[in-house]
Amino acid sequence: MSNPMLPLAGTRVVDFGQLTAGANMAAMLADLGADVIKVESASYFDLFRYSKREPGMDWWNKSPYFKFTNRNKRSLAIDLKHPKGHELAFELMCRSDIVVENFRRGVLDGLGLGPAAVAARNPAIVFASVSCQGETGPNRMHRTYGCTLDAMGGIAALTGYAGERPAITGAELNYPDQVVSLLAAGFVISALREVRRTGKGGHLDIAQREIVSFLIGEEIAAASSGASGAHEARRGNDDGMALLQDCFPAADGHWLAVSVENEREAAALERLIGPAPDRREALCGWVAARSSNDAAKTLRRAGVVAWPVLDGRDLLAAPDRVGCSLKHGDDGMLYKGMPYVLEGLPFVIRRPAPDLGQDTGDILREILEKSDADIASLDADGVTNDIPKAAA
Amino acid sequence: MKPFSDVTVVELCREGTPVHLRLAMAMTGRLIADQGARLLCVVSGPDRLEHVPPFLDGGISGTYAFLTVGKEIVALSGEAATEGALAAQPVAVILAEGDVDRDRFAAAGIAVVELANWPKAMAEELADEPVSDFALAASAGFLDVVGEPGRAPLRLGGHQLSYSAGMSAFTALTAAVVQRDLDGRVLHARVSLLETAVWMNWKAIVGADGPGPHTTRAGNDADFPVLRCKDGWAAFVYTPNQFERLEGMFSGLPIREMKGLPPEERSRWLKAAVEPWFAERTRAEVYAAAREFGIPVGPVYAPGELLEDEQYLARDFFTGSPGTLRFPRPPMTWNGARLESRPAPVPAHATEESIL
Repeated sequence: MSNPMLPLAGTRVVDFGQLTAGANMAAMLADLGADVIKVESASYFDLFRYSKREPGMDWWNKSPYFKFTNRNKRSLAIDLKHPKGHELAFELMCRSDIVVENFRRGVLDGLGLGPAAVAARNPAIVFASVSCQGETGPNRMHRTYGCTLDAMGGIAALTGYAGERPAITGAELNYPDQVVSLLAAGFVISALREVRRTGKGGHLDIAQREIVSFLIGEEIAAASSGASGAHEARRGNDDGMALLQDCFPAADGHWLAVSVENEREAAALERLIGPAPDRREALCGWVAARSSNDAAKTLRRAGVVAWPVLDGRDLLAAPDRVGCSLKHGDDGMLYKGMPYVLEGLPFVIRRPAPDLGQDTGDILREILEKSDADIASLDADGVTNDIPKAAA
Repeated sequence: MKPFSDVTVVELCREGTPVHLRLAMAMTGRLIADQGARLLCVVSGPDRLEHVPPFLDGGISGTYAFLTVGKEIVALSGEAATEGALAAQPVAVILAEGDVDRDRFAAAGIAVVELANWPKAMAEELADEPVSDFALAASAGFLDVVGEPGRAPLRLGGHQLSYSAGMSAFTALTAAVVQRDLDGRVLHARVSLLETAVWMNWKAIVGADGPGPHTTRAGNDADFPVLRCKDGWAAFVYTPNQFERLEGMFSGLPIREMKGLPPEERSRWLKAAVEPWFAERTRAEVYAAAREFGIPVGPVYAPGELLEDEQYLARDFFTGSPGTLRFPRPPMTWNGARLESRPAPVPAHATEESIL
């Protein structure tokens, strides 16, 4: 099924990834041509299978959240706690190039499937662990969510209305989960290249919280230098560079995002709305008297950056605007696309997100060399069950 | 681990490059330099990065210092910049969309990693429209999901849209180099800030596609509020399966009453019930209790406080030592070891010698 022209064609990934941080990162590897095998079981599967589910049969295969973050993968359903399931998983990891996981720290080690155990049999493995705070350190076991990482990573301290409480991205975005999949995929590919050059595999430890803090590296540097006026305060939409930058309510109920970046643009704004002792207040009144689209066009014609604030519904209605980031599959379903375009390699949904255990038989036969009789026996023993216990 | 130590990558900064694209390019270059590539930053004309706040003690841009870690800076003018970049024989060049010599690099077999504002289908139509990272965040629905309902949508602190595009471009660049290793093919990548932001904002799309409530900012009345502590703030996450652990953490509070409420009212009730508990405690006390009972709570730390964070200190996350200029190290370890980068160059030390 993989396109041999893609950069990761011929690379096998065992994907224990859950939710956005793990599963979405593995999906990025799948999009680049890797054979990504998502390993779940009837008793423990990707929590996104529960999200926005509709009542009825087969609900665990219907979640749009799951479909968005697991396209182009295959699904293997085996019980890791069953001795035979454990053996199968271990064998699969030993015959693969990359393992991706974001379990709670210690879970895979406890199952005997941790990086040291796998490396002893497969020294060329890239074992990528994505966790909240990393593999080591006193807080390695503490539970976090994306928004608590906003807080602990430092971005929340810089985000919020001026003089008010810090703001986090919340369940609507969970920014730390999104950025980790963007960056971790690159780290995994880098590690794969290291293995191909040296023949030596290893354990890639990626802490989400560290990624968040890395993304405010300049603020940390400024704080370490003791510079006065370091940007530690919340300042609404002011970025410290524009002369004026904020969102203004328009007459049609939409918001308009405006940046006045320099004196030239400030002069253009003044010519348009007239001189005023308080530029912000004057602009607010001017925008409030117009629709967001009219105000945006008029301001831009004058040379001032102004664009309406769109939402998810607006984006769905404007396919040009979403570009490569969304994609309709052959099944008519909407899928997450890629965050970049590789020229000459259009993004393709080679296969929709798999049903739980959809490819178990094929994987056992092709990769683990099991016979039909072996597969029937594993099924009879409950090792390869693809009906969630919650639904049985 | 230095997986790209055998390759050179050029980051090409032309005069007039919009600052949000320049930030994205610089992040891409920084990340590949961290992975061992020789990163030659060819600067033609003033580099706006040098004027991006915050500023270090002494007036140098902290943003410039952070993003040039591990790089060599070469100042060349006009045509010499392109010639210099070609002479370095890079595997890839990172540049902004519209670069006059983009096709010369491509023709020379150099992978072009292009940072842009808009998706390609919109780029021509909008080429002359004024735009900023803030405007792109608005256009991507990215602003719509942060802030309080009914109040102005909010940007995230720092340069998140540019940096995200930079990370996206880094991943594309690693894929391009791996492709070259495999069969010699040269892959060019195009990364727009808008597409990266929409890609990250996918839950808003799911929320809009089909039945159910539209996904927009829920603010501090959401299930995940930020609560006042004695010495600051903490983010608090409530999920229905935490009931027993919540009783442990907030012993003495009538948490049991929550069970009798409809599910949609529980988080609001809980927030009101625990607010005084948070207000009476420091962030450290709150965090210690959260750790003990396994509740996801995140104290809000200012950037300067992170330098003293016990987890970061235990993991050797920062370069330097207290009292010196410090940066976060690359956010990964390989077999327990941090990647080591060369220090940031000082702008005045830019030289042509690197490529001559």
